Amino acid sequence: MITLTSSDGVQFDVREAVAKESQIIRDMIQDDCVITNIPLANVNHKILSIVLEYCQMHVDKTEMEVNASKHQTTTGEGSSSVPVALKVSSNKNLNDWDKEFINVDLDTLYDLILAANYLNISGLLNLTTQAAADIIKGKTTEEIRATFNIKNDFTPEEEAAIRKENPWAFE
Amino acid sequence: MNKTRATRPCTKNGEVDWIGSLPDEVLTHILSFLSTKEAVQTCVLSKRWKNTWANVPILDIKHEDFLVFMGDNSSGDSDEEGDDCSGDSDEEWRIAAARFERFMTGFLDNRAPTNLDRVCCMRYIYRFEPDASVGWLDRVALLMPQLIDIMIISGNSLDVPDLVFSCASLQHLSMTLYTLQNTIIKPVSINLPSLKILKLSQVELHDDFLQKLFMGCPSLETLILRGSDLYFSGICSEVLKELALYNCHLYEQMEISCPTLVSLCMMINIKRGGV
Repeated sequence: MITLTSSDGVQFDVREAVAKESQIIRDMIQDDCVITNIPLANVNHKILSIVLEYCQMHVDKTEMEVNASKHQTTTGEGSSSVPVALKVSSNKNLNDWDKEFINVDLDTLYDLILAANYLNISGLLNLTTQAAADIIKGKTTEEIRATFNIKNDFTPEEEAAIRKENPWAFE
Repeated sequence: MNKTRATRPCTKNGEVDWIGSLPDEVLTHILSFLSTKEAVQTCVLSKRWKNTWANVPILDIKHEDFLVFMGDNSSGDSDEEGDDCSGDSDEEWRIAAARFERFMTGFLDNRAPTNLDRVCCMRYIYRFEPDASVGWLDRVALLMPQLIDIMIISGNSLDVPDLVFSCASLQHLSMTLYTLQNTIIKPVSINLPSLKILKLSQVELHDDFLQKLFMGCPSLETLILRGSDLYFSGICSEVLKELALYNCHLYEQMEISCPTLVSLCMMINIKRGGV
């Protein structure tokens, strides 16, 4: 087990495999194999718990698939180590789980993107940035600004100039 | 740009632009999930976004992205074409074709001088564009992509530029060319040292191509040909693991000699010769 401490001092005990979903933690463990407590200065406990939920699910799912292929069983029911959360969703695709997982408000999405980037969890970074891209998709410039509170700091003349100089981009 | 943040911006008051405070590489990552047209158009959001698109290592454009149905006045600045529109769909596609070409050139001229990772393009070429080419494929190949996936549907015959066949970084090449008669693929030379996967659809291939292919692609593991005319006397490779021929026409007596093959799938129509 490894203890991860959030920026606001909350400790999370997780299996090494779960913590190692993060590339930076993987590197730390490799460099110092007796490390047991890792402080994470940039992630608060609320976001860390969500991140760990993601890592836990993805590790469990991978391990279950490895076990299933090892034992050539048709279902994963035989294994008592499979957590309840996984059993509940065992007939669900991991993608469906991801989709539900990422259905969060914009503030949380922002924090998750930053955490995934900081901890270097590529699956979570792809999932969260894809979700942000999906919000942008199909929206007009004004709608995107409104959704993300982007302040247009161009003067009207500057914005018109960009459009005029790059007509190819706006046809 | 600031890579870490001190406090969490509060968007609830409508004051703070959270997405703009993300690190550059994360913004670029977000844009890489959009079509290239959508990504480029974020340049007018704010100064923060002006050049972000230029570092996105993906080119993803489709002819349809440039299609604007006539009578739709919200499309904005297309005056020079809008005047002579006949309102029929050929005209819509013709305008879209011109926009596609201008966009491709503008994108390649204005992006940062960095490599591309992935290129996905789909383009219709109509009979009324007798001079249309896919010359941009040469420019794209010079940007060292790992993956190229193009589909060209053309009413004319088509010349496939050669450079794509000597792109050292290319790992995956997928080319579908719907033309009236299958296009003969005959590059002067093939040198794709990284290529693992090659998928060609609706083309005509001769022995000469295969020889150059296996000489020039020492890492080629997967070869998938669809709907193509094959004038092969033999497929001989020491490295190929997967070979699939779907709905192909065979015009020669063909021998397959691939000792490393793991998977073989053949659905072929034998016109002459056999296997």
